[in-house]
Amino acid sequence: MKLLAKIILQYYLYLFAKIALWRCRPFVIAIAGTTNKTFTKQAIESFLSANDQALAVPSFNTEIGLPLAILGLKSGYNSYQRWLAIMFLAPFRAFYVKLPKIAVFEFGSSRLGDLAYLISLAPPKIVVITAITQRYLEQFGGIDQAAKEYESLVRSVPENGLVVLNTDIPEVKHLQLVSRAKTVFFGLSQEDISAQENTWLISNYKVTEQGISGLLLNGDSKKDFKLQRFGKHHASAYSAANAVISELIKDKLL
Amino acid sequence: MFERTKSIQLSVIKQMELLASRYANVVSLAQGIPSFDTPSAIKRRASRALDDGVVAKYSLSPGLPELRELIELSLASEGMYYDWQSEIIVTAGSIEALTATLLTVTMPGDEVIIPDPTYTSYREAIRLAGCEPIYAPLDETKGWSFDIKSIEKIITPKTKAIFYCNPNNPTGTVYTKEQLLALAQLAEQHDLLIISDEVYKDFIYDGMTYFSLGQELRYRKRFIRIFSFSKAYAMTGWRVGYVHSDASIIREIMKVHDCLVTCAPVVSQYAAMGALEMGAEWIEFFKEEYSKRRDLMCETLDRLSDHLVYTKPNSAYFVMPKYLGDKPSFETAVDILDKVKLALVPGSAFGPSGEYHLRLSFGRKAEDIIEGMNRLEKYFNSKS
Repeated sequence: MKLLAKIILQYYLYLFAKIALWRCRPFVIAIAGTTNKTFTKQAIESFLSANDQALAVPSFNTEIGLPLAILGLKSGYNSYQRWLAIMFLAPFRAFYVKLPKIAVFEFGSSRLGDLAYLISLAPPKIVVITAITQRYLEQFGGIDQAAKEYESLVRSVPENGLVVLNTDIPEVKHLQLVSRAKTVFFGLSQEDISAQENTWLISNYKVTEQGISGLLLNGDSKKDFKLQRFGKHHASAYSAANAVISELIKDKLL
Repeated sequence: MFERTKSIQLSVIKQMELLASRYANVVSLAQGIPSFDTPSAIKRRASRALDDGVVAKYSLSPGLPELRELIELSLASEGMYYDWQSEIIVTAGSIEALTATLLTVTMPGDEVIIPDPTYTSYREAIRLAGCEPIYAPLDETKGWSFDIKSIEKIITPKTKAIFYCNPNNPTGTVYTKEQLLALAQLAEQHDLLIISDEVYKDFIYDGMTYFSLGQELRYRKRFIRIFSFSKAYAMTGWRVGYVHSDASIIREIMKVHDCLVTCAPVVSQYAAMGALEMGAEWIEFFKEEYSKRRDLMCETLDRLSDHLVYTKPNSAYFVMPKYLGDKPSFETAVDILDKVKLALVPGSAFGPSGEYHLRLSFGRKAEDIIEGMNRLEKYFNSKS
């Protein structure tokens, strides 16, 4: 009974989220991967917010969470009353919610097929794959199956879109082979090397008492950065965000 | 019998519970256990993990990556920036976190300063590590606040760390930013570590602000913070919490954590993920309830002002009244249990400054609080 209610709710919300997206037609950026989605989303949003282009949505990333995020609704968790209120509000939200020009969504996946559902809801123009790691492997049945799930997301990007891949993880880097769209890379370099035009690399990564610092390399350009955060994953998120923003600027979307 | 355990006592709180178990119809305001069940959304998250067959194996020793990532996000939302990969360990509750921490950062013979009164198990954990707990009396006349000068006086070459609970159990004191920064400065002057157990930080009332030294980047190499899901999300039985600090410290604590438990219970780690993903509203609900229960308890304490004086707590779910009289608190608590069948914790359990006080928990159900306070009123009124 609960499962049936969940399926009905899922497709009900899907319908109205789809209407909201059809009405506002935002440029969708999807962040996917087994780790570091939220930090990468936050890094991209921090650049976009300077241009008033960010969609401040919670990091919901599931089959019900993403429609809620699009409609600007909170989860009803375990309350039937609240879910009823959500079902009442969803049709209104579909026609009145304001979505910005560029919307950044997390696409979460813990089983084969999760991403197909999210792609059909909000087809992305830009896809960022942050990582494919051991996480959720039980549900996927192995790392190759997990990689296949992300392959489906990369394949969904149209020719005029963009695929942004983490070059530090072979399974992610390998996804360039299935991409129809332009593909760029981000990551941390092991040594001070220059990056190619299509690669954003962090070099000279350092940890200080105030946070992390390093050098962002892209082609001939070098840029110092400091973040009041700790952990290489923030440097990785920063390089991914730079790759995305740079392409948005090139395409005159910013 | 055994050298290591001869100086360690079974917690007085547990002793009172054992004594209480001899009687039928006892009302207990002794143990600091939330009366609520774990929120259903959290239980469902754990249940889903069980159904998916992902809980039967050990996790990585520091904990599930997805949980640690959520913890990093949760900390960042409170202005504390720690790397989930190298600076956070998921533990089997806060007791394991603090035991692993003490075993890591001290050597037998070291001294660890703890506030007096404070949570009773700190003393035993410090002794288990072969160290000596040194009491720093809190100033009851100033709402049980730190007295930095008196702490400075008890620092010796053997002192290794200052270890406190903020908000403080049993007094419900929230230490101010000024007090904590002064404490950190003192620790820096004397090259001491600071260990802070912040399990009650979600239950702060009356608009009081909460500050953690974890928000100060300059102290991250000497600051170790412990948190547990037990109180905030009514999950005492799940035994899950975490410790975070600079990578250089966490790397060492990891070794002890691995020896003690290998990893925190995996099913509980999934429940903790549910708590961080869906538990925020429950915390607000619990906090509102505890605030009402505190007022309920304080109403009776106000009526007993001829017998009891107390500072109204602005956090946690304990109140620590002082009774007028010279009978030791253990005997008084036993007498109350005998006469009116009400279990309380004698203040001496929390340190010498707790003597002639009683600790009452308003974490219990409202009806238990009403009945318990009626019995307390009956007890003291029968003495006048």
